[in-house]
Amino acid sequence: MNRLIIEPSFKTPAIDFDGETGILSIRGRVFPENPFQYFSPLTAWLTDYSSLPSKETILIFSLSYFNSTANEYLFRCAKMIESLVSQGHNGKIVWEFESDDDDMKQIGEDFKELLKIKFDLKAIN
Amino acid sequence: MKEKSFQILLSKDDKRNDSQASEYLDNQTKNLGLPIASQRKIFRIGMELYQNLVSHRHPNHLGLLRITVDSSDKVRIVSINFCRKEKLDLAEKKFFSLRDSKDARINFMRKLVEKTDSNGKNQGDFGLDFCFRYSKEKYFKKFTRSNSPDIIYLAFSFPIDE
Repeated sequence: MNRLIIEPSFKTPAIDFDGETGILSIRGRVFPENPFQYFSPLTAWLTDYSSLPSKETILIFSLSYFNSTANEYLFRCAKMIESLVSQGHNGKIVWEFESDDDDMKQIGEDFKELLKIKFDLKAIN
Repeated sequence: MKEKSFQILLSKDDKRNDSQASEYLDNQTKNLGLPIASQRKIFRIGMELYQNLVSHRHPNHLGLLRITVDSSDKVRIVSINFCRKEKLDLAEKKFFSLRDSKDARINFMRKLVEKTDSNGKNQGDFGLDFCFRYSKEKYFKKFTRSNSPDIIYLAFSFPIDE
């Protein structure tokens, strides 16, 4: 499985999807000009990965900002990992947020409540 | 604190793209010298309102996003938009529905699931829901519309230390 690495920009996050280790991370800000276009390679990669996933999959969100449209696409990525777990694979989501960022913590709590998957909320300094 | 403010004025002559506007909003917000929590809130609410302005604005008319920190240490985020009537009707309906809903969080989560399940078909506006989620609805101060011309006025306000 190819590793998907996308460098960050002011409006887009650093992506590192490692199919060998199963550690998939999205870090930074997410408000791309065209969310559909931006997220298409990510969801395509996840679809391919789902056919032969690693022993354990960990999707890490470490986000400082995302807009309402990106929110929907991020949730879709999380649902794809939930779907893997529902098929019997091991997986979890880690939601990192700055310890003084209540908004990001609360949106993480929303995701956690909506997803049937192990979900760690992790405050970072 | 002395009053400080900045604004983004959208007009037919405005050549600024989305990236330039967001960088301007980010830099100007930092220049206000507020606590980081306030900076985050201004940027998050400001970006949603800016994107609303861009998508709803009548192309030949003006749109304005203005951020002010007044002398009593309150932040005000205001957007004024000349927009198409049908957009204004939808925004008004959405605003009153959000304002009257008992729980912004439940409303936000339900909408998120609906949009995700529709797999891109439900392209309805999610920006106001997001603003309500971030602003815990109590900061949403005012929605006003006028007809002829069709104008939406939205205002958020919160103390700088909250």
